[in-house]
Amino acid sequence: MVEYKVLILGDSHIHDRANDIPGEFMDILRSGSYEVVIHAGDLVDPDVLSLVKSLGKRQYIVKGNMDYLDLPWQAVFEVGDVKMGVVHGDQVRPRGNIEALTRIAKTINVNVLVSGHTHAPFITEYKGVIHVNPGSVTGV
Amino acid sequence: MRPSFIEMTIMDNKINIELYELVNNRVLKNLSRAFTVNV
Repeated sequence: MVEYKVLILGDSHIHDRANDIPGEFMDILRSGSYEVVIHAGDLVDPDVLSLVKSLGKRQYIVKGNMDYLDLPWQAVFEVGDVKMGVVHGDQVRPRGNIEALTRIAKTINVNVLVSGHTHAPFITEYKGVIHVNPGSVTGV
Repeated sequence: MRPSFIEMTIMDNKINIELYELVNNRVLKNLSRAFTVNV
């Protein structure tokens, strides 16, 4: 059996609202040996893109409403037997609307949907979809 | 808001998800959830 380790980040907003990812986190992130790294958007600086790419073997990074980087609006992929999707979440209103996020997950046919935009983390299951929101890695 | 990120471990159809938060300069594992997906 293979175990896959996945890192999920979001809403870094460097340098529009924050300067850096906290050093306390960087020690953990750099020693994580992640198979997959996900960023749920609003990076904002290209340096964050380089950093995220350095943290894992596979990277899935989507565009947030504050991003001007050349990134996709959504990504769909598999990790082991699990189908995963990632969107920033600015497509739904109000922010974090679980019903609307579930409709996105069903449309793209994933078991797990990663989203951001709320800046407040949540982990929940709703109508058979596991929803994961990492909050803001810089706490903005 | 507290700075936060998530680590997820996937083995077959089993998923463990852990939320890390920075509280008073300490990294705390504040929430842990386990799920099984139908594949």
